[in-house]
Amino acid sequence: MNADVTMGRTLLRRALQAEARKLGPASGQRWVAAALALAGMGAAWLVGGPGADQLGGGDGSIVRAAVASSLSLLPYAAALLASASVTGEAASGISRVLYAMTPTRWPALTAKALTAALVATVMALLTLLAGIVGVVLAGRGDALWGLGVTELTGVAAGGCLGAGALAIVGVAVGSLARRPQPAAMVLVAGLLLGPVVLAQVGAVVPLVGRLAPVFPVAAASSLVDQSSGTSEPHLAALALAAWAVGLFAVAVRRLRRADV
Amino acid sequence: MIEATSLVKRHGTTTALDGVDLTTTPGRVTALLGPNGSGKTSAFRIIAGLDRPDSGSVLIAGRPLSAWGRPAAVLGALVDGPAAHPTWRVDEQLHIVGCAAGVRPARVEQVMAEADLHGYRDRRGRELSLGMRQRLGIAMALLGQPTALVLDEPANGLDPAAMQWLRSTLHRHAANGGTVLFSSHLMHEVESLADDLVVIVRGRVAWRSSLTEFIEAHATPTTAVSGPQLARLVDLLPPRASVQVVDDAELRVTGISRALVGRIAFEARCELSELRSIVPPLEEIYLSFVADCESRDSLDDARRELQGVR
Repeated sequence: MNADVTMGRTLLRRALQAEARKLGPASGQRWVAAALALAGMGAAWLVGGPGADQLGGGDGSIVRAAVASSLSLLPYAAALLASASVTGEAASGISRVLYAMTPTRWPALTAKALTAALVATVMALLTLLAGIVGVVLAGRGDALWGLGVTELTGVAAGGCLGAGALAIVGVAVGSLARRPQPAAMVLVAGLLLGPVVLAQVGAVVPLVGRLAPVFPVAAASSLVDQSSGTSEPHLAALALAAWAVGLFAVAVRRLRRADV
Repeated sequence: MIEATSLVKRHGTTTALDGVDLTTTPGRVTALLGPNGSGKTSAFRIIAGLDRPDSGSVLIAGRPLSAWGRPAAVLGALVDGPAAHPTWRVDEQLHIVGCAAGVRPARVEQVMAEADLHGYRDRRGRELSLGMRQRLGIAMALLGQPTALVLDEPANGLDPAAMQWLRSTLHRHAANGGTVLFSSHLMHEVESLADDLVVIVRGRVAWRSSLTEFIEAHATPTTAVSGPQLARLVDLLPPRASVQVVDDAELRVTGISRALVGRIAFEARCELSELRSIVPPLEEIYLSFVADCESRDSLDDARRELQGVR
């Protein structure tokens, strides 16, 4: 048993080193991160612009909405990028080589999930920083600092947690689907279309409507924008953790038994 | 040493492997031959740990591959064609795989030099020709300095220089006590590389022996004889020998050994200018062997079906 644990750790360490090495050639991720930061800055600037005053609610809520809007694309990007990193390797066949060197397979997928979560976290911080710049450019710097360090830290933590969890969801979906198109379709259906359909059905069947806040993107939004009122942050965090851990466990189990 | 025991693998209703037993010997190069769809790649995939068998087991150096702390040091595999990520450069591909294999960067550079990939180190995967991808795939298999090498059609797309490198690499690996299992449809490559041979037909092992034994067992021994007194020699040959005259100047004798032809000529003081054995090319022997196996299998299938009808 001890030998198994030691071997698992060694294989995980090597898989993590391989994942770290993969970050070098991953220029696509850097471009996506830059685009996401720019989009976040633009969104924050637009939402926090002079027109927002007409909606009322005060400077504080405008700034909160502006900062939250900068992170609105992040959950989708985190999940899709993470999924693409798995399916890209499967499609090119390089995953065969890596799985042959990690026959128990779980260390390879765990390393992939941890790295994807880390990349998503860095992307969340960069996007948040860009959002803050957008708010300052919109002339609401004073109101932003008025939120206080605690609230800003909470938003940053929520953004990082949401992006990290969705990256793990993306890795799990990518590993289960193994091909780029089906994985992207599942993610678009699950993250984008699913909540819309659920909201429509929820209008007729209230019980279904109550499930909407536990969907991954809604839960991730609740973590950065508590005014969205979808669910309490701790419940949203629990829901996200359940999605990430549940799907990852299914993916590991499937990968252990599957032909790759 | 690779020991595969009673491997069974089904893909839906198709049985790819039906109780395959396969053992390779350290210090020897073993060729796994078989027609397309006979189950070679399925066997390779299971040995490399990529597919799970429905039943049976594979041991590499006495243990399952997953029981080894550094699997890349035990088994190096090139299965299902070479793998190259389209956007990673050649050196990045090898360094990434090297990290997973647990080897130092210096070893990666060494393998890159051995495989003559230095000149292409900055090329992305999508920019590589089939031959270059093949070299890269073989280099990946060699990274961990494994004791066993499993290469599915390693000669595909290689130019003569790369073929020479492959040949010397595999021979050196075996000479150092390593095990090599490879497949190829190029019989001259099999002849130049393999010591042992396993033939799979329809998911079953149809033959396993050394290459020499396979040739001896299935090639019809033919002796070519030429000289000024061939007509006299023909009269002296025993009835079981069959004789074919080629260009009025050479006899092709089958059914008796070359030694016997020589002795008969010597005892009868029959002058010969040439006495040599003709071994048909391996391709010919192999194709006729596979055709025999397949027709035998078809007959067995027909018999089974008929028994089922009755």
